[in-house]
Amino acid sequence: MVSGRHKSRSLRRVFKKTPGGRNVVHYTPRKPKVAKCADCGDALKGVPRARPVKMQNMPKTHKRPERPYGGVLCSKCTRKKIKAQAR
Amino acid sequence: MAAFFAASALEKRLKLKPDKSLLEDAATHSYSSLEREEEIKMFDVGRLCVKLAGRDAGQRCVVVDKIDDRHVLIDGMTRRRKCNVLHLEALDETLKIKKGAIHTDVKKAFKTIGIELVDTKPKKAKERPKKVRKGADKKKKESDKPKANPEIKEKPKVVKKKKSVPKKKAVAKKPVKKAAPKKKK
Repeated sequence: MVSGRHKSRSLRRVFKKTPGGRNVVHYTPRKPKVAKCADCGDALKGVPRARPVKMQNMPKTHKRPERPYGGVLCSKCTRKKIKAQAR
Repeated sequence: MAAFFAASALEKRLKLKPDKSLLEDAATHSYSSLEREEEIKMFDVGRLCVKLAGRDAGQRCVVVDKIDDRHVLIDGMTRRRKCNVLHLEALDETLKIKKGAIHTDVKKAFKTIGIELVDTKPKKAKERPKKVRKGADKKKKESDKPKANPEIKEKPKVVKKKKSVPKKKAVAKKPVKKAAPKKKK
């Protein structure tokens, strides 16, 4: 019988094979969604999809691109913003 | 959403091409050779620009030299390197600089505007510890054997003293007498 706390659909069901040859179910938490641009809503590049524990152990440069508004706006929106500020 | 699909179906029936000027962005625009020539005319030597792409984005720079019909050498608050003209936004101001000017001359020119350039030293990559594989120890040569630990002192060699054996004196051998042959009766 599956215990009540494992019935939640926020958990992923992963079938794994044990060294004894049995197939066993592992309930793992899901990854978060892809980060989106604050202006246009496009998927951001250079931002990994990882749970908070893994993000905390990553260095800062691994979590966002080295660019102004990196990790917040996409490259197209940053160019529009810089052009508007320059003019 | 239904109107969007209906419009595209209508266009297909009438074989209408969509208006490119509405859909195209500056990023997706494919430049012809004539357009490129006009684009690069703006970027003369001494023209102040703002960089749009890369980690230097948002910083001001000056065109130092023209390399190609698309590329230009820039210097200033950004790193001194070649840059595509599409990644630059030209400003109204110009600076008095010679073609191929040194960084120090560019620094002086920026001071006239009121911008002080800060020189940063290039970062050297730190030496990272080399990863040693598990099977690497077995493949070591005899010459790579570990040297003796200097802390462990060598034990003094114990030399066993041999017991002195007296030398045998040379003794002359006595002549062996042979038995006389027996007489037959």
